[in-house]
Amino acid sequence: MNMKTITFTLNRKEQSFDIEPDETLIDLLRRTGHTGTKLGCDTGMCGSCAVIVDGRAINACILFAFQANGRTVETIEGVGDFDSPHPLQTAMADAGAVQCGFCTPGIVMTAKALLDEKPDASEEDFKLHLDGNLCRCTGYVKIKEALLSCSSATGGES
Amino acid sequence: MNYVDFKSPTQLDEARTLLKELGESASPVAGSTLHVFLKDESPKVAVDILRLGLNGIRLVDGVYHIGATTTVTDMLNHRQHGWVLDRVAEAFVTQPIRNMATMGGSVVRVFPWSDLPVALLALNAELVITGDAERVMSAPEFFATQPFHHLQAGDLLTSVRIPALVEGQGFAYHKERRTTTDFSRCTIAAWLALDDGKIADVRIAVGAAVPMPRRMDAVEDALKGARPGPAAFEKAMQAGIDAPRWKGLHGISDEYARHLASVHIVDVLTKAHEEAKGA
Amino acid sequence: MSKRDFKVVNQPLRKIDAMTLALGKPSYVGDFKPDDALIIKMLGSPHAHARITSIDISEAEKMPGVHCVLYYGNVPRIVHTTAGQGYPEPSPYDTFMFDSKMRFVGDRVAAVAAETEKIAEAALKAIKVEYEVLQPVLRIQDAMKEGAPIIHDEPEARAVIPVPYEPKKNMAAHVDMEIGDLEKGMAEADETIDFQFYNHYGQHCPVEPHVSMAWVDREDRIIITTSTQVPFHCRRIVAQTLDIPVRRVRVIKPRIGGGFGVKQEIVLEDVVAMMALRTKRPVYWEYTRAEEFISSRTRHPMLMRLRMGAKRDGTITAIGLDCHSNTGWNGSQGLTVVCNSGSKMLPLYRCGNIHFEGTVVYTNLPAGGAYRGYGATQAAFAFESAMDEMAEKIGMDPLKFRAMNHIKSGDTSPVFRALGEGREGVDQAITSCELARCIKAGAREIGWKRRKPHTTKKGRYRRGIGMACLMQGSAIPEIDMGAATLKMNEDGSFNLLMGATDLGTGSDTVLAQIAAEQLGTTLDQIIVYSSDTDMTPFDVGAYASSTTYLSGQAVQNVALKVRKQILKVGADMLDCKPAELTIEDAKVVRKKGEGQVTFSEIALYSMYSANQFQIGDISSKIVHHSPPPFAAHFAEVEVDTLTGAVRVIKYVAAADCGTPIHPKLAEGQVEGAVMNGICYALTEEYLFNDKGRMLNPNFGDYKLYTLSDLPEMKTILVPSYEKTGPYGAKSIAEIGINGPLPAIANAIHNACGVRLRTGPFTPEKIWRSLQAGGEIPFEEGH
Ligand SMILES: Cc1cc2nc3c(=O)[nH]c(=O)nc-3n(C[C@H](O)[C@H](O)[C@H](O)COP(=O)(O)OP(=O)(O)OC[C@H]3O[C@@H](n4cnc5c(N)ncnc54)[C@H](O)[C@@H]3O)c2cc1C
Ligand code: FES
Ligand code: FES
Repeated sequence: MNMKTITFTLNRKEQSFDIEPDETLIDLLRRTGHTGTKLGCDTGMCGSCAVIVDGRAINACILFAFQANGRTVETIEGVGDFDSPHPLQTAMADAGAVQCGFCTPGIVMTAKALLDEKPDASEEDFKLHLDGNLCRCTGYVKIKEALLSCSSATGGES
Repeated sequence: MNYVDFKSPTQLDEARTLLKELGESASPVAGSTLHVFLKDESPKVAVDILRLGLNGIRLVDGVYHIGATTTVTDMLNHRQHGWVLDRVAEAFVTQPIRNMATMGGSVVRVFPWSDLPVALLALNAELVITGDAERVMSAPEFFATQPFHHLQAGDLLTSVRIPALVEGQGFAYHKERRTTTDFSRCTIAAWLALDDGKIADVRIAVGAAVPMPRRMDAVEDALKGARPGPAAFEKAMQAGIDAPRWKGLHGISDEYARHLASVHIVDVLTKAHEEAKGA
Repeated sequence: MSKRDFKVVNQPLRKIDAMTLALGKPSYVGDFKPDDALIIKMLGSPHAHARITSIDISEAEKMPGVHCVLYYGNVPRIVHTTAGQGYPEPSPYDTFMFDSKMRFVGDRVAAVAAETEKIAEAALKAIKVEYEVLQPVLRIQDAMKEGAPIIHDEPEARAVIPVPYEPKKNMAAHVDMEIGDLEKGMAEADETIDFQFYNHYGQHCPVEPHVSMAWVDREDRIIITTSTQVPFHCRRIVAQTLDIPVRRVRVIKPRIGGGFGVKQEIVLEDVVAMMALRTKRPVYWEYTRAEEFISSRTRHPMLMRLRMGAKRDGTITAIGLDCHSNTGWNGSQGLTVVCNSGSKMLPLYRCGNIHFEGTVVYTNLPAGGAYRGYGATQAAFAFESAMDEMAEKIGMDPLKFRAMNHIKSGDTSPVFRALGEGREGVDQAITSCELARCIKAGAREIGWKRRKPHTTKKGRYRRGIGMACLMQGSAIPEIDMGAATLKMNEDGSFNLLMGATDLGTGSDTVLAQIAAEQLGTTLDQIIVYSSDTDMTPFDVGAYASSTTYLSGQAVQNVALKVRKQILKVGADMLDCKPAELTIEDAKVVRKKGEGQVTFSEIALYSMYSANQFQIGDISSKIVHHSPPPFAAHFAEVEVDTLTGAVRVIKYVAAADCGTPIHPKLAEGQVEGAVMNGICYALTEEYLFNDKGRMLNPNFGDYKLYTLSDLPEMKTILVPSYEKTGPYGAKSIAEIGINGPLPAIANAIHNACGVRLRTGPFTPEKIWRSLQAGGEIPFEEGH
């Protein structure tokens, strides 16, 4: 095993990790207790592993951990908690957009990346940006409702 | 991927030296999305090329220089006169993958679903390879075979150049898919220039339904000098449609793949023409 | 319909676990993986039909980091079914933990448990196997041919309930039923139709694939944490396959990342338990997405012949439905799925002459299992396509034709008694049915009045409108049982312990609402725990659209008992008779005059002060009815007549589920099911090569819609009051998936005259049909 150390900012805190050169970011995250990031396909085709790297949503099942070296990574654990949920989390919960919830962290992260860049995201923006997130439970209707309610274009805040 | 080590150079020369020294046992890594499809079990050193400053889109004398590590999202978000790759980037699978995948990674190894090579063929792109010396290859040359064959250890694709669209020119792109994020069944790109109401020049490229993306020379020849319109497009399509060996992917027949191409060649020509007319 | 003044039921409340999940808190099996867990990997058969002639695991066993290799030579050979159903199961016993015979590409050859995934994978490669390759059976029609290769030739294969079972003929089950005389009815008709339909393979695609882990505790018991819809069936079947007593097994179900039926099956747990027992280490097994497609379960493909006769005045004189179901390599849920093809669709329209026949065959392809819709999806496609065709033949509007024939409140159907779940059914009259209002509301929403015959349409892009009517059931009457325990805490909150299994549907919330309503408290006072075979009472699990209706009644009953205890203690404390008291906002109050005690005071009193006892109880429920929910679905599509591509423009689902206990969750069930149905109708498809290997087991090639593909969707809940259900509720979870196949097929026909009888409705099929003038010759698909 060729463990090497990398350092990156994880949820606003600079942290160092010993990694194997061929481990993916999701493996690193999950084995270090960041289990909110889910593995649904391991091939970049479902979006449940989405995390934000340098402001953009990526598939943590694809990105190698070493590629995160020196970058800024945000996971669902850094986004909100019971006493301070992110508006997206509140909106998803209230809209009935969380059924099994397995897709939810990925959807929250992908939508957050969009809203961070474009607080007044339109329905078309959400459709384009969320095109990598599968949800088998909800049929997306309530998800769309929840996301749109967080755009400043509809009076939401994010 | 069986990476046994990784390097994160910050200078192009440094990266090239590393790659050259390590030879077969190293591999450049850009967006790293390829490993989903290609499981290479041989031990390799990963050389991260995202920190070399090779990204960015610049317009120089009417030609766009697209750095090799420019992501598909950057191509999608770019807005400038004569820029058309946003139309292609939009069809490129999903947001997280658009955020990772780069121009270089998307053209040095061609898959049936590859979007950019088809567009680059129609746009007469030039591909810049930096080795011990810099080489420039035309798109047809570059895509004549799997492009990675052109690269020696230590060579990197550093940028891609495409002429910006000017007045009187049009470009259209179509990717036949079942859902917005589907792999393509048939990809068609057309570029067309009008002069005095006639087609002065035209390039049509197809992908997905053919073994390697290619230009449709016979269709182009039939159009050059012609008056554009539905009848001319249909006739030209008929003249060249049987040149490639059509291949149906993902459960469709070869015959249907050919049929899709025949419909969409006319469709994209129509759209490109509308743009060229200024419609 | 009666309206009631509910406080918790039928209110817009937040699903109780929604925020926990949205925050990404550890919730699912994989989130609890112990650091020292061994990783399990399975070697799959490369052949669809073969016999292992030699296998050598010695190299793999010797590899550093490998702790155990299991194969047929070192595990007990115990025949069982993987179907998580009531006991004795209606599915045949035809499966072993490991066998020397391979019955599909991916069949279990050997499993390795190792320190890391990499080592496990390397060990699989070190296992040397030789096969005698046998001819595979890859089509329903081939399975039934004289002299076809026998898939289950092992002597142990048997049915455990008295139903026809002939494995030597590749027949996994058979059922038939006649009411009146089909041939007579056909003879009386003015118009008849006789068509074949084929519905294709499809997979549930829960975003969380199957995942299980297990360890052996200090008392030598096996603790399994698993993504299952059926913890109690799982415990029973694991004990059976390991030949250990049930008491040595504990099954815990944490949050589940979607199931839709696929987790009503023992897919991983037997191996996980065996590995834990052998290694005495925690072990963890998670399916890859490819394994989920190939080795878990699928929708049973069916070849159906549908005959119908009708008079020109719209009277249906005869209905004949003959289904040949492909159950794949094992017979899991084969009989009951095909029974439901009859029992969940045939009662929908009044008819005196009905014949139904279901034959279930083995093939060397992935195994069918329970899948939302459960046979009704298949039959609805044939049935509701045929209703449109018949309407056209007799020159009647398809809406009117359905409206005049569909079952209504107060009606009964002989089918209810004739067809049960692998045995006779249960007589019942319909006690709630708002199908007529569903049809009206849906028609208005889609703009049915705009609908023109396809012959009037011109141009490249043509739009069309189609519809379908549907029914399902609510639980399996006289068979399924659910139970709940409720106990009170010092602060006036309650623990609700249930075997019922929330797999993402929100049933924990719905059941807690029922408890809160009955107790007279608020939702946040109910702490739900589901499910754990050591802690919670029995429940059959989440299937057959049963949880709200069946487990809901168990909860309502136990809450009623506890309410009485509370009133009794309250009467003690207030020194009066319970009859003088009532409950308001978590307080016991006198109906007349002053005096009240809070729930918390009551709990404290009963625990610490006088006549101490634990306020709490347990109730179980079996049901005698299975009241059907009803729905009318409408689709508007646009067909590109040059390429055959079809796009859904708008989809309307109007559903009668009785009282929606949680309206948003009920809508969510409809929307999720409809979306799944739309993808199944248009893009989901298994591609196999001629050796039976699936070619597209990934989300890149097997296409599901994302938000970017979402058409305009409208759900209309048309309330009724089902008097046998908890607060008037019946089921909603399954019915929605049955509509898109027929509604879209009918809409495509209305757009461009093409009639599709084989799913999915791919552009190429539509293009070919257009070329052929409307229809291509029927073919059995995959
Ligand atoms: C699920 C999924 C679906 C996809 N669908 C599509 C699609 O529909 N259309 C489409 O066009 N693409 C699609 N792709 C992307 C495509 O298949 C490639 O994975 C991607 O384009 C590669 O880009 P990258 O930057 O990630 O390259 P990497 O994976 O980093 O590299 C790819 C290869 O190129 C080499 N390389 C990279 N950059 C350079 C360079 N500058 N010079 C020399 N060599 C270099 C690498 O050594 C490697 O061999 C999809 C990808 C995934 C995961
Ligand atoms: S797990 Fe990464 S995209 Fe599915
Ligand atoms: S809520 Fe289950 S997959 Fe989205």
